[in-house]
Amino acid sequence: MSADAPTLLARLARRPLPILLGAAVGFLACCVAGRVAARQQPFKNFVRFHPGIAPESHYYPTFSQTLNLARQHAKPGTVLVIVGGNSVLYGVGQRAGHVWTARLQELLGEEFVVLNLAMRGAFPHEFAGPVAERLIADGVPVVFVTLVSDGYSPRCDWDGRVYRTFFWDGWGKGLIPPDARRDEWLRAGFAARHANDEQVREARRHGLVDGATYADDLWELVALRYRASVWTPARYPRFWRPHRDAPDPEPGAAVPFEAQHNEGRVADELRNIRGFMEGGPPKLLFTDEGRREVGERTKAYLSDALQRHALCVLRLDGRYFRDRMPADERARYETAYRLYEQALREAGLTAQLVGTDYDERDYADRSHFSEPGGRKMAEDVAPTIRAMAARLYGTEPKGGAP
Amino acid sequence: VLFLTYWFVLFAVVLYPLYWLVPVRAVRRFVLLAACVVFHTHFAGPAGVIPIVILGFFTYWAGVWRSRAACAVMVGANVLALVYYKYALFLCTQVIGAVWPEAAQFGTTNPVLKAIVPPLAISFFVFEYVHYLLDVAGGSTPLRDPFDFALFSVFWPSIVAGPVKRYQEFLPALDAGLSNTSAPDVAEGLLRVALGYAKKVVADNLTAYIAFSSARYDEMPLEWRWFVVLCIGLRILLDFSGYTDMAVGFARMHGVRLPENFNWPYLCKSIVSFWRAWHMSLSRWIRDYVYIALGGNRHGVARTAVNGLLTFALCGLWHGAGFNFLAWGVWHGLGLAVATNYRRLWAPGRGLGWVFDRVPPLGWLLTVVYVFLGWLFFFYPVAKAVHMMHLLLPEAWR
Repeated sequence: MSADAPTLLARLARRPLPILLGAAVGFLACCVAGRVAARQQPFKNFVRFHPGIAPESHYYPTFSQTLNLARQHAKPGTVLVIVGGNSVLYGVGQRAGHVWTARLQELLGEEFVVLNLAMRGAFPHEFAGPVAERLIADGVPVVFVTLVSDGYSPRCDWDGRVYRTFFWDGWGKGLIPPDARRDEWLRAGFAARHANDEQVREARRHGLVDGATYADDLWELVALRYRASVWTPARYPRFWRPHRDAPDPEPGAAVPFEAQHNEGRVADELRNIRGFMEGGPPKLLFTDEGRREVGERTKAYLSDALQRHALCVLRLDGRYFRDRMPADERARYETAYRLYEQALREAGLTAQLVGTDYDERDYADRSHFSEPGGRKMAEDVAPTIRAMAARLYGTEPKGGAP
Repeated sequence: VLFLTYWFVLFAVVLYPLYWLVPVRAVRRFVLLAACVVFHTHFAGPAGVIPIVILGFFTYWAGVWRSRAACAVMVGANVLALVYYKYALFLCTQVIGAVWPEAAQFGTTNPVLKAIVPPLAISFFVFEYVHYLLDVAGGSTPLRDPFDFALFSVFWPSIVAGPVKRYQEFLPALDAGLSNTSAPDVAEGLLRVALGYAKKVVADNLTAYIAFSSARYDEMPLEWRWFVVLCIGLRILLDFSGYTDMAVGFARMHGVRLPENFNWPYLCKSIVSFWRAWHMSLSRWIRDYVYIALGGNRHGVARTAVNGLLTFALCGLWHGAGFNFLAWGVWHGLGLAVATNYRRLWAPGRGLGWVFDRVPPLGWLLTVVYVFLGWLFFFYPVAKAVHMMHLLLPEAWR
């Protein structure tokens, strides 16, 4: 089966030593460069992981990069407030300069540093949770804020669901701190649960391989700072430009209120709310046993260390849509959320319900707060965060901006 | 994309050092076979492995017996297996269902048909088994050593996307690799894998761009539509040849030379030479076992054209169960029929041939445009492909 004429590659391979040596040295150099890259904090003027620096545009922030970002924010004598959770706490509906975490920073003052690590679609403990845990394990004063009302899911696991790769990246590099329940799951539970789920098992192998090569850290650093190599409609047409030059695309108040709040949307959005009421935790909340179950299930994926440091935020759906529910249904809905908050407190978590007295314009759509709504949320949770910091670290609750 | 999984990375990291360090040929052969079985089992799963093991077992024995009848039976069994796994649902819902709607309903509701999952790479297994059986029935020496047959069947680099191997060529190549894998082999293999990987990266980017552009195709300016067609053609070449490069490279790192599959096909100056340079191992198989078996070019112009059309229709269907693949095959069958006969059968053809001979870029351009337009059938349903072709004409000509 010999080729008719030696190809260029065959001619090159006649002197194999330089090639083999070059491949070995090149590989090792990349591994070393990856380790160096893993020590960098590559983000510029970071506000949040907007789609230009997130998986939507094929940029996958690594655990090390995110941890370095958080470490850089953790200044001596301050409490680091890490905001996790999903698009609600990320601030969909709020422009980068007007995001609710900016207001939270103003309110909390200089003793606190607020870092928004929320990711769209993330589960309460996912993505930001392990980063907060790592810092807690390192002795950094941390308060972790997450949104739990979009729930937990039986399909969600310790490694999360949407951003599994991030968890396994940290695991592969030994950055996930020990936790008895999670360690048991890593030993036995994972294999049993995902025996037939090749995609999830691949995420774990990814972590294992990358823990040795640090390829992601190198690759993502290059994409962030210098040149991206993956075409994506999110960055059309100049996909090759560094990710960190990508603008935060959130239009915020530029989207008219009526675009998301109109009679045409009511039926769909009420269906979503009812689906959550009937299929989510609310249906359990009206009995003592059910409330215990909701509390325990919410705690289940917060590690023992994180449970003490977590502020679990619950938010009511948009006022415009709540006002269109029949009175008895609305009363039951709002009662369910109060019971939800009670369930979490009874389980030993710090919980806070937001949105009870917000008006229609405080929401950008059914789920997300507008810029005024985000400011109200910041005002609601700031005292709770101060109280938590005082309880955890003895920080005197001083005032920030009024 | 099996070579781009982390499982495969771990597999290769364990396999290659073991293979290179084992000094005894017999042990090395065992290591390779074990690796092939692990690779196939992991990616195909039990449901994908069992049919191949059954087909392979009987194919092997049919060869050992050297009985023409046994070989014929096993050729039939292999072809039936391919039809069952890959085409039963298509035949039921699309072909028979087109004239008899109850069959389409049966196809969409019948739990047995709905549950059919084609074993991984069954098209390649069947083509290699059929080649083996026909050659043995024709007088070639069969493989008596079951380990040799097993390695021929499940040699891991070529399982998924070929090249389609010939056992008479593969066994000596395997023997050479098992006896001595040299440093130049490993170096060339590595370079080839790197080249294949680079092609795949470009192809994957093109795939994303094509998916994005297809949705906007109708609104695009004419030149951008042609650009999308160009991207489709490049994507198919880079994706397929990239995978082949990796397969050939990984085999070469075992010291085994696999046949080449691509030889700069987009530089060819006629559709005839295109098919000598595109997916060469498949083209050879189709030529030897379908086209020549149908009579080839031995029965006059009309029969030759029909044979070519039939052969390429089958070639199209081999790539996938759908009318668009059939259309792609027929498109090329027609192209070949015209390209081989226009000088003889069409009065101005001689003059045109004279021009093509003297201005080679003209033949190249025509070939590339024809091939690239054909890829629209490969990528999209027939109606959409025709619509997209129509939109490639200048507005005044539509």
